[in-house]
Amino acid sequence: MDRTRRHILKSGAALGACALSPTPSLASATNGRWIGCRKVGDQHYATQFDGEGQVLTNTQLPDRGHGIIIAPDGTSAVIMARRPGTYALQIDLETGESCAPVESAQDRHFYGHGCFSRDGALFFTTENDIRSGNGVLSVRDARDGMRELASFPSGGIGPHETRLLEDGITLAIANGGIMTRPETGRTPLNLTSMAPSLVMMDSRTGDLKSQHHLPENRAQLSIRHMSAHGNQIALALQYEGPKSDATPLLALFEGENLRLAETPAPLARAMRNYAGSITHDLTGMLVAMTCPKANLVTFWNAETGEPVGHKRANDVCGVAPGQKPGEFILTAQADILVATLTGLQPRESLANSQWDNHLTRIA
Amino acid sequence: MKILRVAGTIFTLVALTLTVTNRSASADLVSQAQYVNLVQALTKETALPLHRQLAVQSARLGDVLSGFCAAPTIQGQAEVNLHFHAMMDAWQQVEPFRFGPVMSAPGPSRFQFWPDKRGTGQRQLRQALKDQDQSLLDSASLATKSVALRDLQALEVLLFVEPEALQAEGNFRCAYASAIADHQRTEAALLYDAWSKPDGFATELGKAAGGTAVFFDEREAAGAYVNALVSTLEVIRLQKLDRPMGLTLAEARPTRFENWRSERSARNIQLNLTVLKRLFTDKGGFSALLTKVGKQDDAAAVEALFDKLLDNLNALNRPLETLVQEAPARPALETLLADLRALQALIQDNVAIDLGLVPGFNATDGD
Repeated sequence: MDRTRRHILKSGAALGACALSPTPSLASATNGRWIGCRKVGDQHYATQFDGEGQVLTNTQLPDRGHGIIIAPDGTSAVIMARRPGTYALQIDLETGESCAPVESAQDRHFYGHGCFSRDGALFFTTENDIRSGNGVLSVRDARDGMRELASFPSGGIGPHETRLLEDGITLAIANGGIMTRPETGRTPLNLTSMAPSLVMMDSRTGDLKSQHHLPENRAQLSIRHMSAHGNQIALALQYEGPKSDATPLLALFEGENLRLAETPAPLARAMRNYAGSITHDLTGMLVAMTCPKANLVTFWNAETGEPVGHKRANDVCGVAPGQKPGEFILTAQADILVATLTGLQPRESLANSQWDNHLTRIA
Repeated sequence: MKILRVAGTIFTLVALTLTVTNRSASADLVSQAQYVNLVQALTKETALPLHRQLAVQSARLGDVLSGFCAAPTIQGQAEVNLHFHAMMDAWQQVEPFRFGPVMSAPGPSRFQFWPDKRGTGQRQLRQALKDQDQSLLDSASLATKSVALRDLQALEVLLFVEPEALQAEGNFRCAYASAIADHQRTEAALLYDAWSKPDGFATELGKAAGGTAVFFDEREAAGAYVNALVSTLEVIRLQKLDRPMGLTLAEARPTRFENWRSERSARNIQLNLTVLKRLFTDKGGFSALLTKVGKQDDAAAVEALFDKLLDNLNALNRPLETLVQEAPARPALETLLADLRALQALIQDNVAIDLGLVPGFNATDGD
């Protein structure tokens, strides 16, 4: 019998039941830790590695993973299923052991991202109400099996990444604007009537404090991923219009209006209408945005929105801050790379692996 | 401020070059003209005729079903079933082309909503049959319903579950089946038209080299065919075979096969594979291009694996739906899985690299 043919998940006893290590020792690692999802053969894993690219923990996932969110105390992480997936898996960053996966409600699915409240007590997930197609922000009890405590309209269709802002109260939510349904998989159903937006929500009440749109002729620019640093949010976009349009894919927000980063046409064309992941560096002065369709990582001056360089790496997508100002860690194909404006340096390559969309810095 | 100075220095260090190209080293083996010729050949020799065949077969099924429902006979029902299989044969030969017009909303599930892992479609269909929902009989209103109420899986249920019910004069099931067939006729005709009209998708593929609204360049168009190969092989292996097999004999689930009701799940796989093989062997296809760039060994290895898989499928003496529950048949099915995996690896790790067309794992929209 071939037990390796597909994965067998070692799950906990009760749904969401879980005991996490109280005293992390990996946290003392001084050269940094990151975690990303990867595919090995037909199996999916969440893999934690250090600054030398050495694997620290490796956790099998029920299916393809997407966003990885670190708990505020740094001891655990939540892996969200890739949309339209239905699991959220909490893992112990010390041992790599996972709790039983938490499933979305029967009439909902996850959108691949979430975030913790500042004290780690709550976990917020972006979800699809399958019947109405409207976006939902679900508030969950992170200490009680991710039980849903409340749910609020996200203010649009297809909410994707969400971040808790510096005030500890406001959630920034990227409503991608693209309607999909489980029975038609990932097929976009409303490309001619898209209305993507960035929403500021009061996480305590669900009140929409403000909603921001791109200029009207940019309604086919889906707002999907974000990095928040200080008072700035940098947004990675994907364009659903004609491929012959050379469109900016970076938007910046400092509380007033969304502004598109002015992008020279050759660079805009080279990015191929699709940005997959985005992050600020440790200082917040530099933004790195990956364009996997173009095998390109692009760098931007966070203040002015000017492009300051780009590097080529096949199938690059995951990006997270490195250990130094101006440094980023990238994942591309099987590789872990260190990127600065002056070049890319391979750190480690994991055999037979395919790194997935996102990479998150733990410490 | 120290940090500011460091970052500022970085900014000034970098010379801004915007001559961005999207070529990798291995791609230089293949010229732009060779990509264009490959895409045009695959489109003309393989994709277009198969889309046309789907339009033709679905029109025949529609005609036969409406005639049968007007005057049901046993012989007429046998004829309907034959035409259902012919239409499914045609669809399974179009299914691998998972790009272009079929991907616009609501996607390929307009023809076949499968797998239905949560049973949503089957629930909707059961309810519709229970309610005898008359709005399903009108083609205009049927087109607005859930794909699960108007696809080939729904038609299969109507034709192969309680088939005797179709014999009753003026019965709802027959009228509904006929409405689905008519709807499928329209969908297939629209799909063929979207490919074949003067400014249609076939033309778009052919002129990709200049950059169009649909393709950035000719490599993206050629890559669409590589992606079709890889993704179809993966669907066959994981959805059409591995999932119903389960890890052990005890976990085998015949009803997880694609078309267990009409016992044609193995035939679907054969037809999928036949089309994929044609992408190599048809005039001007992948094998011809591989040979031109000195990679004839890879072409031969791919063709040999396709032949082995097709031979082994042919050698199955009973339906997959039966064999999956029999211990002695298990090794043969495991061999199919292993060969499918090997073929996918050969295409991803050799052919795609030979031709500079490696499909990007992270290049899917909306992640």
